[in-house]
Amino acid sequence: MVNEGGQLYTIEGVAAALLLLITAYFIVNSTSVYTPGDTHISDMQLEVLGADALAVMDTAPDSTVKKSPLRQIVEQEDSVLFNSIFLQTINARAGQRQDDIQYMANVTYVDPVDNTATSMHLANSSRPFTGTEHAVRVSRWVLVEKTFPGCAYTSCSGMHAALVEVLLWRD
Amino acid sequence: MTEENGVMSIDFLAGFTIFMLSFIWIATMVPGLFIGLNAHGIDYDAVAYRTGVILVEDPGAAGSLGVLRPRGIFSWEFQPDTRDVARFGLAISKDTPNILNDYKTDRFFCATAFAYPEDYRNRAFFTDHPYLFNISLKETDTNMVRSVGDLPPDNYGYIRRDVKLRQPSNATIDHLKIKAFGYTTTENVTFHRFSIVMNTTELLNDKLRNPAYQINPFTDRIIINITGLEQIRDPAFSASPYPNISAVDFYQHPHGQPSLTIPWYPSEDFLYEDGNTTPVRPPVDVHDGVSLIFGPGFFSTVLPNSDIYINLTFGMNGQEQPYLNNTQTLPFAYNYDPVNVTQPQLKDAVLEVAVW
Repeated sequence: MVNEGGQLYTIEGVAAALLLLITAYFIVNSTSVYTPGDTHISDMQLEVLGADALAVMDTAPDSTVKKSPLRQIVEQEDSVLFNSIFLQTINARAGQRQDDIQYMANVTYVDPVDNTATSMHLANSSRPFTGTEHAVRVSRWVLVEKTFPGCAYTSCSGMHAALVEVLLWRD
Repeated sequence: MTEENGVMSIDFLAGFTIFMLSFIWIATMVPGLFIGLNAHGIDYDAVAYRTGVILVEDPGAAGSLGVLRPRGIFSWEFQPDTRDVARFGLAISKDTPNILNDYKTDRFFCATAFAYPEDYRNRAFFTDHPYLFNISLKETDTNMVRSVGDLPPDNYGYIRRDVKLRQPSNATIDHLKIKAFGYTTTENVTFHRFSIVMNTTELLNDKLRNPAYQINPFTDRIIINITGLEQIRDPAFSASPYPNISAVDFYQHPHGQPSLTIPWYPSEDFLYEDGNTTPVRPPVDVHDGVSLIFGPGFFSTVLPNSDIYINLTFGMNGQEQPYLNNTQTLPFAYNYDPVNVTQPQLKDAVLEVAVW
């Protein structure tokens, strides 16, 4: 026998379906989805800048200068010079305001006699690295002529490679 | 007889059908919904990064219909018709990323050569999307900023690149150098000849050089300043009229062959007097100094492995007197000796790309 009970269920079903769809539409349209790719963008920008700064520092200003500023800094362990050149290079902008990127730099070298790698602090910006910063790492191999501390004279003499590593972060 | 169970099934079927049709319709809209989220921001940063890489790490390219200039110069910056530029790129070569060529940079930021935004969009962004952008280059030591494009809005894609900007070589021949090199001849004549030589074999092929430090007379701007000429005049003739440059001649000397004139050069405007910015043409009186500024490509018609001679003839107004003359010594060599020539300098600069 036909009655009107089914109509109510149909109207409820349609109303619920529309309610669900409208809710889903509004949620999806209003939420900002912060994907892992977004964080990667700012990391990538810092990495590019750091790699550029080290590359620029490892370029001699003209052909009469035989050693790049970065090579001189590593050979003389000149943290003051590294600090001034690196900060000026990495924070330079085309506009008036400078950027505010912080850094900590190490030099790693290998003693071929016992094949041990040793890291040596090179320089850091005014705010020291605490470990809680979201930092990115850039590095560059530099050819140097230097006997590093703790390295046997015969094993570290002459030209050899040292790795300059820099941690970069924004406040 | 009609059962009530059947009513329920039909109602359920109708409701479920409406739901499924709506769901499918919404599902087809989902990709469009996500475009309205953060996709544009991510996209713009990526576009800025890509354009930054193209400008800083690539030397650029001329189109297939581009003009092949003599000496194999086929770079985009030498194309007289800007439509023959296929891709911008400011790097000196593929092997020297982050080191920008000064002439490419000049051409890139030349507002009369290229129109914003179309010309740049087709050659640095490669897209049909109507991006707007701002590209700026600041030289760190002079704080000089060159830019193309609009002011960026609040949200835009961004990349910054630290670069070196190559400055061309130049030679300054001052009165100390003139005396040290013995260019003040004691010969009293009415015309004096002073020669400058560029040995292209030595400049380009003497050994494997980093292109960043190479002097290429075919593509570089060549600047020669002769100063302190007042001080080398014989005091006995100080009341006489000023000498004049009566001619500037160019010769090429292919090895093992006689000297030839250079068949064609692009401009007569290369001679400047006493630091003035307006070029002059011989004959012209010489007071204290002259500058010879040859634009990039000036010597592009010279034969390979030739020495280029620039000969200046000074007229002494019919009076026999000493002056600048190296016919008895050697031509002044424009080479890699830092005593003679200030070598190409790499200056710090920063390039920013903002896209929206």
